[in-house]
Amino acid sequence: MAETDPRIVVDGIDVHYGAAQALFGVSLTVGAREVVAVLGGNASGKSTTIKSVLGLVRPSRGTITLDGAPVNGQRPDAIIARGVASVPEGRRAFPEMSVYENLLLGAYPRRHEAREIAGDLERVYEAFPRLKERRSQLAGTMSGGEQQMLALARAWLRRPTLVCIDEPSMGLSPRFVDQVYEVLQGWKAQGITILLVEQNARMALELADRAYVLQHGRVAVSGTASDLASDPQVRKAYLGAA
Amino acid sequence: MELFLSQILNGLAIGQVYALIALGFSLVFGVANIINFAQGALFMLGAFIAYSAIAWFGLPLVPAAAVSVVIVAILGLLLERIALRPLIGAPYVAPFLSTLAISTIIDQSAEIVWSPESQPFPASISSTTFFIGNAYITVTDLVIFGFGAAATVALTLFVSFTWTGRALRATAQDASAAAQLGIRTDVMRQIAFGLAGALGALSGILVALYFQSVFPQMGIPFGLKGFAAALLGGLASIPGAVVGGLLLGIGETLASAYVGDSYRDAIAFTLLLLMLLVRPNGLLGGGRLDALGGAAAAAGAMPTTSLLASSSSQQSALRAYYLPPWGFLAVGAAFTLVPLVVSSTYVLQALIYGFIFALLSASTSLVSGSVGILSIGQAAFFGVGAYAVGVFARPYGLPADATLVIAIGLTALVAVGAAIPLLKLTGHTAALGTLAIGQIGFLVFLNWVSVTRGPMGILNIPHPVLELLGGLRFATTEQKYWLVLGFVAVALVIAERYVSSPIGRVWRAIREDRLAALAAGLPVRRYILLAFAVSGALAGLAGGLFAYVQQVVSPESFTVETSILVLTMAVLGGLGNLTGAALAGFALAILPEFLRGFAEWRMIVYGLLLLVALRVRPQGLLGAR
Repeated sequence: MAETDPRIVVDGIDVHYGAAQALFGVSLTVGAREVVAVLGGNASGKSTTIKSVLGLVRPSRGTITLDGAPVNGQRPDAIIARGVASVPEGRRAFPEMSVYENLLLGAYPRRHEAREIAGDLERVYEAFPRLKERRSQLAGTMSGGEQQMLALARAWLRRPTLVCIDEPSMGLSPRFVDQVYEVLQGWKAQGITILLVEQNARMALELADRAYVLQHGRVAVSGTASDLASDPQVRKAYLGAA
Repeated sequence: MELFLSQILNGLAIGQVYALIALGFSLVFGVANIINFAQGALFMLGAFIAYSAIAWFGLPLVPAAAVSVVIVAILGLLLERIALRPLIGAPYVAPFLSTLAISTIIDQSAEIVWSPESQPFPASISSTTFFIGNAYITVTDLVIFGFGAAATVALTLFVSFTWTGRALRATAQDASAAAQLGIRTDVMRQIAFGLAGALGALSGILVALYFQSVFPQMGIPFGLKGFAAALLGGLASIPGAVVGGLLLGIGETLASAYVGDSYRDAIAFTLLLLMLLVRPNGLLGGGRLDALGGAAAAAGAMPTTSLLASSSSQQSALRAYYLPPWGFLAVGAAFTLVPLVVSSTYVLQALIYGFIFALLSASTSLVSGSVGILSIGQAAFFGVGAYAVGVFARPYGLPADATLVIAIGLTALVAVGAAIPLLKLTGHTAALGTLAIGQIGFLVFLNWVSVTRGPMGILNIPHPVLELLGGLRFATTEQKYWLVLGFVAVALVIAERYVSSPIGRVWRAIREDRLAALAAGLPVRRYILLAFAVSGALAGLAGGLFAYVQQVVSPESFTVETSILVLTMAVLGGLGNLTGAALAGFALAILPEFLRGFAEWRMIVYGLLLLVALRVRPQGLLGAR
């Protein structure tokens, strides 16, 4: 549990897509250096929750605060400017730019720190030799797993204190899912705060400190990751236990 | 051989100008995912502002050009701010139509400010001519080529190696992902528009130097050629724009040297259509054009080719209001009574034009709305119908039943033929394809003198006689009123029956998601051709009736302006909603009668109407269907 001031406080937000309502009074907090997972099935509202935090959709009710200041209705770039990085759903690498340029764009908010960026690029290449090999290749020609690594590395080059990650395991083979979570474990060890949206509850609960389970746009259960992992209902619904 | 070489050198110079216009298109298309129809208007303004700076304020060429480039770049920013920013999240078709409206307003304002006449450009570069062997090239050509090339290289370096340039490209490829990296995508859009304005102005000035004249209507043909060049090379590709521009320049210079100067434009647009047929994505282009929202729509949560869909998922559904097929008969029946009450031929004449444009607007709404291929060339079909009546009623003396059947059949055939190059296209590309068709139609009416009598037109078309009704002759205004009303009402009933039938449902399926329609096993090509046939038939009938009412057919009735006007009507009524289209067509056609004395303001009023409508009610008055 977070003893210090929370980084993110989502308080009772409703989100509408046209006439359809996706979120109903969702509240959650993410403490400093904490890893919080938002779990749930399809159309449960997990992605909408993270999109609201990033300013990609606008809640019709409720507030969102980032480090104590309200961010409702702010543009994504304004939120990113406050030390946040995003690993978007579906990776979203820029397909017609090289791997190098994709990585570089991760550092866009701190583009004036040329020397530090060069050093960080070297560190990324060390951690992901695959990306180094392919740095001049167009990102669109890489496999899904490689693109996910690229998206993670791109977010890291932001040197964020808080990362929002939307379904990092989506569409990946088990081997790549393991690799993704290895990277995230590393980030957790570095003290980066993480808000993670995930359908793969087993992997997410291994990484997370706390988790929220969404159902039909409402928070159904919440608690520490270990409590949730042993909760019979959660086990039955999301972990495939008999 | 020397002539050939000289033409190539000459073509390279003008081609470099086309490349600059094309770059303006590519930048904006890449970053904002819209075809900026107003690029031609910015180009024209660039030429005229430089002209005024020289002619009115006595500035030398270079400072005048610099002033013009700066002013037009600012206008580019304003364009984004006024016409496009408010439409983020509106249907994909809205921003495109918005630039169309702005371009209409700018072009018409320019005619008011600078007069519609062509004026000599008051500056020139030395006309010294160099010889390379026996081929010649002028200093003007060299300067134009040099400037164009330098601007292209500077732009390429900027986009490739600066942070802003990279951010621009990132926004172009995936705006949502770019925003999540902290890039201000709205600022990137503005930069793209500002650069497009600067490039437009520069190219306008170079063209003015090349042809030594400026005229307010220069925006559309050059804008279209710039677009053709961009498409030729592959939209959103900088090297593609340059290659496309140079190829187009060389191609049309050779054509004008060996085929004849009056065919210069016709050949350029034919080249565009051929290109669309063979390689819709251009020489160096990717496949990002398939959706009207460009990559954003293609990568969206729900990929769509629909021009009515929008990038914003937080929009509510809207309903459409429309008449059942028999409703048109009922309304028509009510209108038959008007001549019994109103005896003013002036009012009846206005109503007749109202009916004709109601039909024409419905024909546009059918292809543009139901099938989703935005038609900016409907005037060509309208013209084919009118000329069919002109040619067969006058020299051959056929009765109206025969001429109208010919008009309908011939126009349907022409429309089907015109649709063939468009079959693989969706979204913006298809729209620009129809624009090219409209231009080719106009050029044919103007230049095929042996049939159309060229600019003179066909005069003294006889009063319509219906042999089927025992040789009934419609000579008075009242009689023509009833004739037109009858034909229009019946045609609208048939059109509405198509749109409301399972065929109409297939058309809308093709509009919403062409890939899904194909995957569902629908014969998409056949249905698109059918839609063009029906739309062409309606437009042909409208044209035929128009010829009988006017008793004169001449090319100026069938310009791009007419096409834009009719599209405006269709959009205002609600795309795909024939009731709305007919209503808006009728209303907008009789509106100028109330604006007498403001004839030159008419297009401006239409442009403003369209702009306001897009902002307030982008789905049209009665709702898109």
